[in-house]
Amino acid sequence: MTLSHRLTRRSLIAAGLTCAFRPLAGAERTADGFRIPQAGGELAFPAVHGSHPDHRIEWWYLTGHLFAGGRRFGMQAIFFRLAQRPVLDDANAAFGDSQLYLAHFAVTDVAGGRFLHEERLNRQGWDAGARVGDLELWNGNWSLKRLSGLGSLEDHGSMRLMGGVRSEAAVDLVLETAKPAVRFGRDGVSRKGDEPAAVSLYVTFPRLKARGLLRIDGRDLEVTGSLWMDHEVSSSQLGREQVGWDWVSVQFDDGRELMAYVLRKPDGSPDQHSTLAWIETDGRVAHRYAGEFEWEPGGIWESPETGGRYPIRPRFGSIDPTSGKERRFSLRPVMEAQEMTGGLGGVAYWEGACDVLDEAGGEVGRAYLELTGYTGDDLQKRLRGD
Amino acid sequence: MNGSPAEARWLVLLLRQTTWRHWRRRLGSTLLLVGILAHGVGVFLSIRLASRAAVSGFSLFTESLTGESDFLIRPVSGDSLPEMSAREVRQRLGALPVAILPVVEATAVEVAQTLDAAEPGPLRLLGADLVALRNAAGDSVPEVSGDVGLGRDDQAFVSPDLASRHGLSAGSVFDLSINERRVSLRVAGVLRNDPLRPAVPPHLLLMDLPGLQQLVGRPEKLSRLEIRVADGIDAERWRREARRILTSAASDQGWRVETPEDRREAVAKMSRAFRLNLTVLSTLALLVGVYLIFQALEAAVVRRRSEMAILRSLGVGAGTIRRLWLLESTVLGILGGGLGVWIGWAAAQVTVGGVARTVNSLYHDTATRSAALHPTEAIFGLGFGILASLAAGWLPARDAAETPPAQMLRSGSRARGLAWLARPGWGVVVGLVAFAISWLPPWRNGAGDGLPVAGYASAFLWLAALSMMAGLLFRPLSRWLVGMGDRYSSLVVAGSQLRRPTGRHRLAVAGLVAATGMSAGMGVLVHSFEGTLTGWIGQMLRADLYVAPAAANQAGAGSVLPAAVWRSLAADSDVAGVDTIRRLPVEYGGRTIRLAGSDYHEDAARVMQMRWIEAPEPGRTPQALRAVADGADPPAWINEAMSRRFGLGRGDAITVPTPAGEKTLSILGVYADYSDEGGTVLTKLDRVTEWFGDDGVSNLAAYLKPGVNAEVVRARWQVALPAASIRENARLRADALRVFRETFAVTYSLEAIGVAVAVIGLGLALASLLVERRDELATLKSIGFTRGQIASAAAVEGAVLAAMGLVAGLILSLVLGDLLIRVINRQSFGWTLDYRVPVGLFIGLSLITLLTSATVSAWVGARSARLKGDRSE
Repeated sequence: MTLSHRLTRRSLIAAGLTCAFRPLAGAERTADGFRIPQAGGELAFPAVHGSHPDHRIEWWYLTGHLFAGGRRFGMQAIFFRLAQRPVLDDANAAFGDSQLYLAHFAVTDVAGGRFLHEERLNRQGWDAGARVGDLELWNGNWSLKRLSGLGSLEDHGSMRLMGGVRSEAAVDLVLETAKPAVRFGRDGVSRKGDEPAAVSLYVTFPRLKARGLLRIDGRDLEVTGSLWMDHEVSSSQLGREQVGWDWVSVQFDDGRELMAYVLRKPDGSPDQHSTLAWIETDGRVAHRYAGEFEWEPGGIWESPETGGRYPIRPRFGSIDPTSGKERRFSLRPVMEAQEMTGGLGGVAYWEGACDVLDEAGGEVGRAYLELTGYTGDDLQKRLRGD
Repeated sequence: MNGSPAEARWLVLLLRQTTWRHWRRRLGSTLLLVGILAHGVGVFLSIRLASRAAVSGFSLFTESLTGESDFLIRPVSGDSLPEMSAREVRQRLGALPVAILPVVEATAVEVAQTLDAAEPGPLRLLGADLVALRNAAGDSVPEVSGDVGLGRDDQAFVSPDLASRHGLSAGSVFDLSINERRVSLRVAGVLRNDPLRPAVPPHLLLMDLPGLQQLVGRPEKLSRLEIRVADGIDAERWRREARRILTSAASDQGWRVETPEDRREAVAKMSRAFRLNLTVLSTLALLVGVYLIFQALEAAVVRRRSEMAILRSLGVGAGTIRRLWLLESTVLGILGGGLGVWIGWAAAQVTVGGVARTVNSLYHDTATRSAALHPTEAIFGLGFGILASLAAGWLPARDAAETPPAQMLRSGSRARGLAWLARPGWGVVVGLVAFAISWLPPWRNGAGDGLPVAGYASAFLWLAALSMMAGLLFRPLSRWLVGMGDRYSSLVVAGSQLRRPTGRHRLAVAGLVAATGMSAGMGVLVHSFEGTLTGWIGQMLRADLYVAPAAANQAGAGSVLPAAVWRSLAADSDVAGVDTIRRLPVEYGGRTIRLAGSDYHEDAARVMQMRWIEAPEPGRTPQALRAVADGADPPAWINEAMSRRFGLGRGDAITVPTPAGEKTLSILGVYADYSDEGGTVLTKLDRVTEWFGDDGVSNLAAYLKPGVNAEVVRARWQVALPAASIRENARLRADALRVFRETFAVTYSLEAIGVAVAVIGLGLALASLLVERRDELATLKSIGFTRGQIASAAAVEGAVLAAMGLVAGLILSLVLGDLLIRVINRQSFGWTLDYRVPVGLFIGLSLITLLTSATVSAWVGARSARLKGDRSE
C-alpha cells in the first residue's frame, strides 16, 4: 500500500488543500466530489493501468532488484498523481493546476555502498502527466509507458521505464510480465481504515522481468532483474488512528510472492486493517488479515541524517497456503542507509532492498521493505491535521 | 652594493635623512602632488568601476532563485517563444536529466501612491512555474497552493528588499501599472536570499507563470527557456549532448541557444565601444597627473641639487641616488594611488548613474544603481598610480643621479630634459605620420565591433608632434619680446631667456600643449556632439506629444503600448495624426539588432525629417511610401550604425528572421540615428505587425489639431494612462539632452583639472628655472633690478610659455576633435557628427590659462628674488 498517508498529507501541504475526509456512508463520492473505489466492479483493460483523475490519489510504484555480472542494485521508481479537484479540465494546458505529480527515483548500489535518490514535483501540464485510458506516465525526463499486451489481469504484456537519479545514474528498462497481475483486497477493494472512503483499488504486477541498461559511475551496464509494481487508486486511504506503517514485497525463489503491510496505531500496536497476502505461482491470492499473521520489528538502524530509528530487520510469519505449514521469515537489508530523506519538504522514510531468509537462515528470495513514521513525531503531526 | 641588504639599509637611511626632511618641510606641495595623482587615479578608476557596474547590472533574475542555468533558449526574432517550445525541448532531449524552466519576464511600474515615490524605477516581473521551480530552487522559493500564488494573476512574491522598503508582508496589497493598466497585486509572500546565490534583485516580483501571462495579456508566450543539466558524474557529458541536440534544432525552431556566459558577453559587448572610449578619456586624467608629478619631481631635483652633490662627494654612487629617487616616486605612487582608489570609489557612485542611464537607453537593461569597489580594479588603480608615478620620476631620477660631486657643482647646472623635444623639425614628420595613420580602418572583432586603434595611436602621435613643434615658436617670440624691450627691461630679460630655451622650457611648453590640447579637444567633441544632437532632435521631434509605455526608455525592455491603447489615442478628437513605431529585437550577423516598423502622419509638412547619410531617391522616404503598397521586397531604411557595422548601403538587400520566416528587404537609404549604436532596420509598420502577429507599438508621437493646448491633452491622457511616459515636445528634447550631459559630465572635471595642472606645472617649471638661474638673478639685482621687475620678468616669461603652449594646444585640440569625431566616434559607434568649435570655451580657456600663468609666474619670480636676496653674499 506504500506511502499513501504520507503522500496524501504531503500533497495536502504542497497544494494547500483542505482535506475532506467526510464521505457519506456507502457513497460513491467523497464530500468534495472525488470517486470512491467500489467493491466488485469490472476492470477495463488497459485503462485500469492508466490514470483515474476522478480519484484523489493514485500511484504507480516500482521496486526491484537488478544484476549486471556480479554487481547487484536495488531500484525504485515511483509516480504519484495528486488531484486538486475531481475533474481533469486542463488536460491541454501547458501550466495546469488540476493535478500535481510527485515522483521519486532511487538506486541502491550495493558494491559501491551508495544510495542515490531524487524526488520532484510538477504540475499538470507540459512536463508531467498521466494518460487516461492507458498506461503512460511522465514527469520531467522520467517515464513509464505500456508497450504491449496487458489486456487483462492475466494477459502478458510489456512496458518501458526510463529514469534515473540526477546525472549520477540512469535506467532504461523493458519490463515484461512474468506472472499475471493481481487485485488485492476483499471483493476487489483494499480497505485501509474504518472510514467508508478509506479504500483503494490495488492492482499489482508481482513479478516483472526487467532487461536493459543501467548507467552508473559513467558506464553503461547491461542489466537483468525482477521488479514489483503496485498501482493503487483511492480518494482517501487511511484512518485517523494510524501513525505509520511497515510494508514489504517479497519475491521468493520458488516463483511465489508475498506482500504485507502493518498499519501502526499511536500505541505501536497493529491496526486491524493490516494485511498479508500470498501470491501462488499461478497468480491466485491468499489474504491473511490482522491476527492471522505475525510481524515483529527488529534491528534498529539510526539515520545519521534525520535521526530516524528504523527497525530494518523485521521478522514475520504466516501459514503457507500451499503447504498449510507455519512459515517464518526474516529480512536482511543489502545496505543500511537506504533512507529517502524527504527533500521537497516531505517526511523521511526508509525504503530498501533486502534479502529474505527462512527459519534456517537460508536465502529464499528478495524483498523491498518500506518503513514510515519513524522520524520522531513529524508524520503524526501532519496526520493530526496540522 | 647593488641590490644587497646593505644597500637597502643605506637607501632607507638616505630616504629618512634627505627625502623625508624635504617632504616635511614642503608639506603643502607634497600633499598637492599626492592629491593630483590621486585625482588622476580616481577619475580613471571611477570610470572603470562605473562602467563595470553598468554592465554587471545585467543578470538573469532567475539566478538568485535557482543558481545559474546551463543554457538559455531565446527567440531568434521578436521577444517571445511559443509555450509549446518547452515540450518540444523536452521531446528532443528525451531522457537526459535536464530541468527545463520556462520564464516570462515583464516590466511594471510602481504606482507612486502605494510604493515609494522617490524611487520610481521599473519593477521586474518574473513568471516561473512555481511548482517546478522548487525542484531546482528548493526552499528559497516559497511553497505555493491554490490559495497562495499558484495560477494566480493577482498575487506575487516580492524581493526582501522591496518588502522591507515598503513594509510589505504576506497579504499586503499594492498597485502597479502594467501595459498602461493599473492593477492591484496581493503579496503572496516574501522571497528569501540564499547565501549561496546572488541576492534577490531589489526590484523583483515573482509570480506563477500562467498568472503573469494572463496579467500581461500574453497567453501561451514565453520570454525564454532556461535549461539546467542535473549534477552528477555524467553532467558534463549530458551538457555537451544537450547543447548538440538543441543547437542542431535551433534554426528549424527559430531558437537561439546560448549559455548565460554567452549572454553576458553579448550584453557586455553591446556597450564595449562606449566603455572603451570612456576608459581612454579617463586615462587622459592619469596622463595629466603623470605630467605634473614629473614637473614636481624635476623641481625637487633642482632644489635638492646641492644635497645630491654632497651625497656624491661622500661617495654615494649615481645608481644609489637614482634608486633613491625612484623609491621616492614609488612612495608617492602608493600614497596617491591609495587615496585615488578611495576617491575613485566615491566618484563612481556619482558617475554610475549617468553611465548606467546611457547604457540603459542605448544598449540594454541594467538595474545598477551603485558601483562596488571591485578588488581587481582597486589593485589595478593602485598599480596604475605607482606605475604612473615611476614613469614620471624616471627622468628626474636620471637627472639627480647625474649630479656631479659637490666640488664640481656650479650653480646653474641644468637638466637635459627630453632630447626629442629640442627637435621641432621632427615634430612635422611625426605629425605627418599621425595624419596618415588616422585614415587606417578600425580594428574589427568577429562580431563587427570597430575599435579605433589607429585613431587613438594617431591622437598620441599628434600630441607628441605638436609638443615638439611648439618649440618652433621660441625664436620668433623671443625676437619680438626683445624688440618690444626698448621700453620695458623685463621684456628683454624674458626674451633673452627664451632665445636660449632650456630643456625645462620645452618641457613646460609640452606640458601645456598636452593639458590644454586634451581639455579643449574634449570640448570640441562634446560641443560637436551636443550641437549635432540638438539639430537632429530638432528635426526628429516635430510632434506635440510623445507617448511611450512605462519604462520604455530602456533599450532592453520589451514593453509596448497595446493596440487598444494607442488606437484610442490616435482617435482622440484633439489629435490630427500620429506617428507610430514598433521596435523588436532580431538576430542578424551574430548580433542582436532592432527591426523597426513605422507609420507616419499624413501631413508631410509636419512629420519628422530624417537626417540622411545616404538619401533615398525622391519619393522613396518612409514618409512618402507610407500609404504605397510595396512590391516584392518590402522597403527598408537602415541607420548609420547598421550601415557601418555590416557594410550595407542603399541598393543592398538585407534578410532578417521573423516569426513568419526570413524576410528580405531592399535598402532604400541610410539615416543618422544618435539613439542607437547596435543597428536598426526600419520598415513599414504594417509589415512588422503582420510578421510578428502583434499590433502594439513602442512609441507614439501625436500631432494635435491647431489651437489645442498640448499640456491639457497631456494631463488628460496621463490620468487615463497613469504610468505611461507622456511628454511634451520641449520636455522630451530636454530629457534627451540631459542623458547626454550626464554621460559626459565626467569630461568637464577633466577639462577643469587639465587647466589647473598645466598652470601648476608651469609654475613648478618656472620655479626650477629660477633656482637654476641663481647667478643671473644675483647679477640682475646687482645691476639694480627690483624685486618687482624680476617678478614681472618671470610673469612675462611664464605668460609667453603659456601662450606658446596654448597656441599649439588649441591646434592640437582641433586635431584631436577631428580624430574623435571623424575617426573614433564613427568607427566605434557608427555616428557621424558635425564638427563644431567651441569658441567660447577656447577664449575662456586661453584667458584663464594666460592670466593664471602670468600670476603664478610673477609670484614664483617674486619669491625667488626674495630668497636670493636673503642669501646673497
